[in-house]
Amino acid sequence: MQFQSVSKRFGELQALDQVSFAIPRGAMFGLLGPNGAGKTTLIRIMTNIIGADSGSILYEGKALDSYGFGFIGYMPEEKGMYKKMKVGELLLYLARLKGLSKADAKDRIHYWFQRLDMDGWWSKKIQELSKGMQQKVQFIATVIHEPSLLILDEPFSGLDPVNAEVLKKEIFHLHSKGITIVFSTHRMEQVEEICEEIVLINKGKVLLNGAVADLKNNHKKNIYYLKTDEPGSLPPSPLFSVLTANDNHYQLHLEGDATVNQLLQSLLNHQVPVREFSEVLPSLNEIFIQLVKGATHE
Amino acid sequence: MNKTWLIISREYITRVRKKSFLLMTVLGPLFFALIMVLPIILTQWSGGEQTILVVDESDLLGALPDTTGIYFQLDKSGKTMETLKADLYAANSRYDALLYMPPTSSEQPRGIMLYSKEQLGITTRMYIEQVIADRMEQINLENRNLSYEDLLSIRPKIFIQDKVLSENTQEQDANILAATGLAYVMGFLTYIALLIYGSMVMRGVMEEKTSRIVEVMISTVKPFQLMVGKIIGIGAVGLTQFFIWGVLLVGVQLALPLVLGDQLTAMQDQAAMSGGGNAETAELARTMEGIANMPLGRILWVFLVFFLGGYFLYASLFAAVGSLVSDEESEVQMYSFPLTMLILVSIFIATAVIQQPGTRLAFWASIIPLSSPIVMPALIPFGVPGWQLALSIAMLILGFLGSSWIAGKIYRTGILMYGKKIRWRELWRWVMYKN
Repeated sequence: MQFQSVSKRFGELQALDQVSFAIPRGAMFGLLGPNGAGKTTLIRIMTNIIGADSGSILYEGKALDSYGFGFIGYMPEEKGMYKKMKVGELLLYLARLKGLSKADAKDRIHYWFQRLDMDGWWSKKIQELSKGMQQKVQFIATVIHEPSLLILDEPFSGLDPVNAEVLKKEIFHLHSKGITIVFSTHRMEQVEEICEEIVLINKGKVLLNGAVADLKNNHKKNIYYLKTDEPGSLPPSPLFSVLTANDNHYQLHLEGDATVNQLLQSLLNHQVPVREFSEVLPSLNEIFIQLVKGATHE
Repeated sequence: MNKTWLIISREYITRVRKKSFLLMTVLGPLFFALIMVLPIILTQWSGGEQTILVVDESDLLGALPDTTGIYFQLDKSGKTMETLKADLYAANSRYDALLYMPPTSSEQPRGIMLYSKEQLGITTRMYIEQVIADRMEQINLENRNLSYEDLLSIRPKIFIQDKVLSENTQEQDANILAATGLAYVMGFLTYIALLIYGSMVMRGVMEEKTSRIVEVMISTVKPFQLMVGKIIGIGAVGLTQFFIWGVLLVGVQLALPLVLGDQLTAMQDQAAMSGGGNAETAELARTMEGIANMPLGRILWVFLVFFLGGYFLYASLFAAVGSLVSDEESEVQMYSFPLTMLILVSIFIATAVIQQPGTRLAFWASIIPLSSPIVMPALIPFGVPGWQLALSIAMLILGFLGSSWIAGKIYRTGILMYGKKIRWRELWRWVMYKN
């Protein structure tokens, strides 16, 4: 799925400004950004809820509109359902709106009931369910028509660890079947462990886009972690400066054109008892903060 | 289309299956019947039994006729008024009131007094006055050697037969009274229906918005489909309710003579017995006949057309209003006020128009689509030219196409907006906004 300079304006607010990026097929894709960055607007454009002012979105090379709604499964951040309906009826209704036949829809609902330990839920009313239980129902409603693209907006918010784990397992299961999954969240550390690729937007603009590993490498700042056998002061050297020293843990910054080998050599020459040495890669959070700061300084 | 159909059937089925629907449908008419009958029952019961002691110093009254709950007793004890009054106040008094007729003439009766322990009801008082007046009239007639029939011929009852000349100068029986009665029923029925089902649509939209399911729905169907599906589904609920009421009404009309046969004839006899009742019964009969003689089929389809047209027009606007409301009840009032106002003004115009059907106000109000759904059904019993009806229906269709177009635009944006007060200018921009 490709976004080509997509823009959207709400009155005074430029919600999206020339946003371009691509989501590879079958990816676990993170859509990141702080609150109010334009994530929800972007998702709403992807899901055809609203239209873009300009720019285009292509899915497998063709305009998105030509596909209808069927291939997308969308779970919004604010989970909502008809509170007075029964679980089974609601799922049946939503599934049939997605174009499933009654019999098919029933089969799949029962399949998911079994999979998620929800036997006997058919006649329960939505309003009798706890929040976590409602979220399960919502998840089924999102995947019941077997979408090839799944968009999850803050899927874990409000879930207890057990249910979050269940949901995560199901998401990975779907991913393994080749379904493209888009996560939208402002909690970057969550994405780091799940997603392979991300796009990071802020104030309607793309800040970062690419594979998580590449991004980290591109934004590393020559910081290294050192652990010694026992606490002690490191010998001063033009090769590095000590950023933090905590007992026998140190963070070192490699100065100028010095290489890691030179640094290690120097340490060993000074008889520093090295136990551990590794490169420190920035977290997405740090990269984001760094970029936002940089942007405001300019 | 298939999706719209699914939405319609969900909206319809979830509402019809509710217990409140059954309750409304069955208890609604009972409630209305109760409101109509209650005043009669209350006046009948509230009085209880009252015995009135009559002191007649004029010797004109004689034995006054009793009625249900009111009994007269002529005083023959010869006690003075003072003693009798004191007796009346005594706790063990058999009497509720004391009627005093001083020596006076039957032509100009003066100084009649009614003493009572408690304030007597208006019906009791009116009955006593009527009974005395009747007796005086009878005596005065006898004094002049006239009969009651003579009186009727002196003071004849006037009845005007209304005829409406249609285009080919053919006379047609008309009945203003019947038309007026029917007009009120039609006007108020549409009025109530528009308000009830209109706000049902509004609440439905609000439910979807506040529960946030709307986002899931809109990623599956077009907003317009969702709105139209809801409007049609609830409209079908309204029609179902009307249909059940219609069946109930016919059923009651067929069953009533069977169940209450004896009482009904007794009531009619009683009405005929009481003085002057004949003319009233005749009038009532003529009115009933007038209603029966009206083109009821035409009236029914006009009602349905205008109910549906008006419903679509107002329901789409109510849906738009529902999409603007975020949460608070006060906002509901604020946004729906203009709509309820329009409907209220329409029913005011309708009542004015019923009094004066031929005015220019009547014409315009029956053409303009915002008021025509209520005014036209109220006007139709008086007879409306075919071209006016056609114009009105055409305008109504244009009206609801226009309103649903506007409402669709507002709805589409409104349902996704949260926690923001929306200004009129902004609404206008939404409407003008291209896709």
